[in-house]
Amino acid sequence: MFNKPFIALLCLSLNLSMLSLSAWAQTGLELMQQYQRLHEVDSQYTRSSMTLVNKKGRERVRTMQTYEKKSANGENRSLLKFLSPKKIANVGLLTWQHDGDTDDDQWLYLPASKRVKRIASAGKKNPFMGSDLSFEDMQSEDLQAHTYKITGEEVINDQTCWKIEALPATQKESRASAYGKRIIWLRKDITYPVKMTFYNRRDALIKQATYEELKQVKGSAWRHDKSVMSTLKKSTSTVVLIEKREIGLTIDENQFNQQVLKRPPVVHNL
Amino acid sequence: MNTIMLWITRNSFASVILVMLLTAIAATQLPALKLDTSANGLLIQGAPDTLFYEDVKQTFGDDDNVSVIFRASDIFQQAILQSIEDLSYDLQALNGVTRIVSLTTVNNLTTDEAGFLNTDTLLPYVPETAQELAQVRHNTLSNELIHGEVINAAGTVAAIQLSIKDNSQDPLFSKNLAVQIERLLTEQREKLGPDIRLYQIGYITIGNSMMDNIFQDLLLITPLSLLVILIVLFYFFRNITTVILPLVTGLLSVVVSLGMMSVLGYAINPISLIVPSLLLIIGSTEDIHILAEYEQGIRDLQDKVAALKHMALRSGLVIFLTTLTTFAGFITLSSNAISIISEFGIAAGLGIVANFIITILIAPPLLAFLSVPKSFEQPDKPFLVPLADHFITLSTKHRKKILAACLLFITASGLSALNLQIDSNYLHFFRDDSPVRQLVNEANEDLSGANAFYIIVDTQDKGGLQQPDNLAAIAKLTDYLDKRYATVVSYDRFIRKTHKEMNGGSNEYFVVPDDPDLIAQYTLLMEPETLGRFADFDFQKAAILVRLNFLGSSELNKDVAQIEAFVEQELPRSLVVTVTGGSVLIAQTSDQISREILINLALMLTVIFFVICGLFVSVKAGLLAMVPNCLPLIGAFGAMGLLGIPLSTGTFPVVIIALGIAVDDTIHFMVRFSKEMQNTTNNEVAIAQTIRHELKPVLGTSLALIIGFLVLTFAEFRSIAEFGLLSAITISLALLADLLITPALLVSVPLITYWDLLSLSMSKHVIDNSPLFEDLTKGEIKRFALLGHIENAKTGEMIIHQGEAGNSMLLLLKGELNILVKNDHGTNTKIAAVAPGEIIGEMSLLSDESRSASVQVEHNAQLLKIDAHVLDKVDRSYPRLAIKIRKNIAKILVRRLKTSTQNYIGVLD
Repeated sequence: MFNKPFIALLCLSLNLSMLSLSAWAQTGLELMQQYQRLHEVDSQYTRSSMTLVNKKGRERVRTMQTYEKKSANGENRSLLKFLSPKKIANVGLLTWQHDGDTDDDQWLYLPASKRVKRIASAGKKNPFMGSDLSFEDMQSEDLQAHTYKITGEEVINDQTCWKIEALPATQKESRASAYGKRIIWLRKDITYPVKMTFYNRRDALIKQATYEELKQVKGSAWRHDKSVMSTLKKSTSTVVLIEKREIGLTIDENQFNQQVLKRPPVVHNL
Repeated sequence: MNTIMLWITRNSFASVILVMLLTAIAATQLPALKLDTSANGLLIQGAPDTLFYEDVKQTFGDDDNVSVIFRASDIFQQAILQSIEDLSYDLQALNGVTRIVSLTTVNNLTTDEAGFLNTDTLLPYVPETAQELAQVRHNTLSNELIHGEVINAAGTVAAIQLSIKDNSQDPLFSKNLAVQIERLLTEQREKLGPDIRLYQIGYITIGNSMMDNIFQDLLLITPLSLLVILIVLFYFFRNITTVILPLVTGLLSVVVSLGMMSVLGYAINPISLIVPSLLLIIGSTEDIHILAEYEQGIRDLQDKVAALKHMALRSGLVIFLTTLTTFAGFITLSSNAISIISEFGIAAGLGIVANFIITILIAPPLLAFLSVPKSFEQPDKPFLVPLADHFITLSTKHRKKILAACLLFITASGLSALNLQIDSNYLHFFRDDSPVRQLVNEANEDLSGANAFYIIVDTQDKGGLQQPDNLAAIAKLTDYLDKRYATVVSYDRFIRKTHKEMNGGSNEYFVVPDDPDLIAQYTLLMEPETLGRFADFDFQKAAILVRLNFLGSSELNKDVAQIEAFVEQELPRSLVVTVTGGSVLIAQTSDQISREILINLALMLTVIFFVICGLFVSVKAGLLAMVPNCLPLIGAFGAMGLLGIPLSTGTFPVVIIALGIAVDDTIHFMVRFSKEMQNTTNNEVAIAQTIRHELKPVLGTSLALIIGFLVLTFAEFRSIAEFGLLSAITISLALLADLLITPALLVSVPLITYWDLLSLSMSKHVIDNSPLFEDLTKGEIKRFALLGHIENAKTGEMIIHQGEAGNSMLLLLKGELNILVKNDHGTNTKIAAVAPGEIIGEMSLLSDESRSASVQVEHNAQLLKIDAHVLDKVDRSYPRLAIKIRKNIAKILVRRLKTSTQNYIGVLD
């Protein structure tokens, strides 16, 4: 399963056993599958800062942590909690991703209201907590919901990349997504994305993301420590910096439920 | 001045070349002339309010908006929703559109039946099934936050709101944008069919229509008006020269002035647009005055070259004086803080000077080139002579009645002017049945909101917006506004709505929560672009957006004052609340301009007063000139009060033009009168002569302008029509003032121009030694001399005959005289010689006795004749001078008596 870079935040478990690198993986879909195989991990913890930059260059910084785990049935669970600023500390988002046509389950917890609220799945194109990222930017790529086509090669920062065009393949996806098209630059040597551009349904470029400070974290799995997402017309951007990361930590599946969502965040000591 | 004028008559070729060069240089600058169709010139650059507004736009986005409106029996049809989605994408992509608000962008924060929190947009995709359509309809119509902004409550009208960032570098920006929008709408209309109404409305739409109208009128009505003026001039003066001269000088002046405006970087805007017509009007008046002198010259001298010289000498000074005065008046506007007013003042002032230079350079050569009009040799229109006599009788014999009527008129106009409204309503500039007005009415009925303003609430504290008490105060203001305006969008309403939806959708939760953390957490759920419209990055300032129908400036200013009063009473002092927005600032400036026009006029009148005082070396002359200058102004204000035409940025130029014309006419009249005064010692005679001379040019030009301006009342654009009507009224008043009131006032005031004072040459000997001038200053001597009548006499001429009745005394200025007495044989015997400085005939002046001796000119003499009228005049006008003069006459008489006594004693001895 291919993770869009922000999935580093949500930490989707990747199955390393699926690795089978093929030198002849020539179609776009095959490249994407290869990516998934290479970079999947079983569980992940990250602590990161998310900096919102407005068009005047002013910044608003939040910190958060995310636990992610692959559940017994192979589906991804994630629990995100804001750590600071104080006013929004402990605001949490619990996500149960489901494969195929089933909608994901998502719960929002606002500590000041002491209430957990179920979020309807329809809002995936909406911005995530006021940032330049939308919920869909943070979800795992649904390979069945898109078509992929290699459109060429391009050198970015001295690295030759595949240029892959991703289009929604189902009516459900094209209705739910804000994007009519995405272009993904995938580094040829490690099959890891370094850049992505996002187009609206009328093929106008609206957002752009870059993924920097790439490092090999475990086996064939790579991660980036920095990502920058820019919304072009508004001239705003969101910078996510990973401060701490642990791959393959032991965490119980029952830590991903509404009860835990309401509890104060357990900061994982590395 | 005379030297220059004579040089021009002699060097016609050089002066024509000079004008051509000047015009050619100016013409090269014309392509760079900018056109400013926006009302942004009404924003005072650099003023705190403007800077605040610029900052607000930077923070919260542009408030200049265009609304694209759909109207149908039911908006929730697939075709319309598809169209809304298409247009939302296409409009967003247009250059200059910084933001759109539509069903596709507005979030629908609700708790659905299953208890799920929905954060999607109202129109996430175009629904295809009946069920999906019903869902969109339900979501949309049950969202109370968006009614009036993107949908009406009945679901029959939908809108896409566009925020526009005006590109001031591109003068055609708004025009082009409107065309691009219209093109997109046309595409959609073809798809939607005739049952669905789709149109755009907004400031730029109205601004474009305004410009279209103005230019349409400029291209059609103004030339028509010019044509009518020329026809009237031709009818009145019966020669083509009278048509060609104003046309040539006027057009050249317009080219030069526009060239100068281009060099100065001034744009053609709704106010500077009147500069060309101003120049044509004032310029043609000058030309007619010049032609009147030329005509006079031809009649008197029967020679073209001599007549041109006469014209140059007679008119050079006076048009210099009128130019100086009008220029001084306009240039006072340059100190105005509102750039388009100060630019107008400078452009008009420089234009007047350009017109003067062009006129004096081009008129003599042009007239020399053209053949002498035949009409000059024919008698005047038959009605002119009795008409002149009529005016003469009125102004000299019914002086008191006229002045009383004038006073009455001023009082009545003043009272009527109390009803004068100050209001710039840009919609009022259009006729009621104009397409724009209909469109605006339609939009107002459909969905109010083609107009908008912001209320900025500054909590003066970072994060202050998320303090419950602050937000509750803002909510109070929002609720107050919500009762008054169709659409009010504010941060507190989003928070209240979120609170409600997080608590099961119950209305009792539509309140500001009392936990600051909860407010901060709810804020996380707001779409950042929406949040950015209503809260700044630091959560210190909130912007409340109010969408409303178009209002005139006075209504809008009243609304703003009421909002400020509410804030003052109901909101805590810690919150700094400011109402701002393009429309608000423009309304403030418009009314400020209109109010300030009184101050500007007062300033212009003061400058004109001092210039005239200086020109005629008399405070009285300055005061006198104020009456005919103010009367048309007061009359114009009175007419506006009576006709219900508000004083606006569209009508205020009328009073300025009125002043320009009134000043011109008054100065022409006063200069002519002062000249006539030198030929006669009788004021009434001088008045009569002045009226006879001035009636034709003044009446001719005034009638031409009145009819020309009346043509403007047919203009498509109401403000131009009103401008035309008011101008016609004002010029009529200026005409009456000059033909009735100025003469009536002048009867009692002798006028001397500064120029005359300078040019009067009196030998030092006379000034120092004449007993008549003892204790008089040099200025007083000249003034006295000019009140008298200067006569020249040739050698051998007998200027006084013994035994004749006489009531004047003579002061010898130059030459030599002999006093002769008849001896017993009846032959004259010289008894004495008179040297310059001495006076003769003083006894007859005082006693009306017959002359006791004859006086013959021994050597070419210049004499100052002083009669009883002159002494009366001096008594009335310069009492101090009169005392000195009478004292000196008494001294002279005493000295004479002494001499006679001594002679008598000598004879006895």
